[in-house]
Amino acid sequence: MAFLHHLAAFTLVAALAVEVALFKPLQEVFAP
Amino acid sequence: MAFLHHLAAFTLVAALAVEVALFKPPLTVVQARRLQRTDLIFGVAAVVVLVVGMLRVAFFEKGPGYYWRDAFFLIKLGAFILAALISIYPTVTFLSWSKALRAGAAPEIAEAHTRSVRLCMMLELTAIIVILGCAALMARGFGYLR
Repeated sequence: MAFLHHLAAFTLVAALAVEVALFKPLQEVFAP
Repeated sequence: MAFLHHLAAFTLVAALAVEVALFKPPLTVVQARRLQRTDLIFGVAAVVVLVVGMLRVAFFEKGPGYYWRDAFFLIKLGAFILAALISIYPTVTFLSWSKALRAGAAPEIAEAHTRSVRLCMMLELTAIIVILGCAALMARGFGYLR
């Protein structure tokens, strides 16, 4: 059970990090 | 120490997942820079995981005598070292773009090279699953060598 719990927790954090990384505009500096 | 170890481990896995998601050539300059930054975070997190983990083994938790006689700890450490060695290839690839990126050019990556880097990342993810399994077994006293 500990393995499953940890696997799910790591998957959750990884998926959130991917969402944050992908939900970003491709310009580093926005034009005013 | 356990908090730091977990924080670094979660950061490491999150950074690797972001690398997998971002590494989809052809890449723009911005995407390539993001990959380089993510790989730096990945590297720092890996060092923290190893250093804090070794400190926990030596000075905290159950004592070094317990861990160095546990087969699952040894497998876990072996999987970590193997993943670290495998991660050298993607890191060298990302760093090789620096000159082009400084000149404002997007990196050109051959398809075979892309496949190799992706394979390395998948092997690293597999090693992480092995590490998680070994950690759960080790913490419960399985694999103790007399």
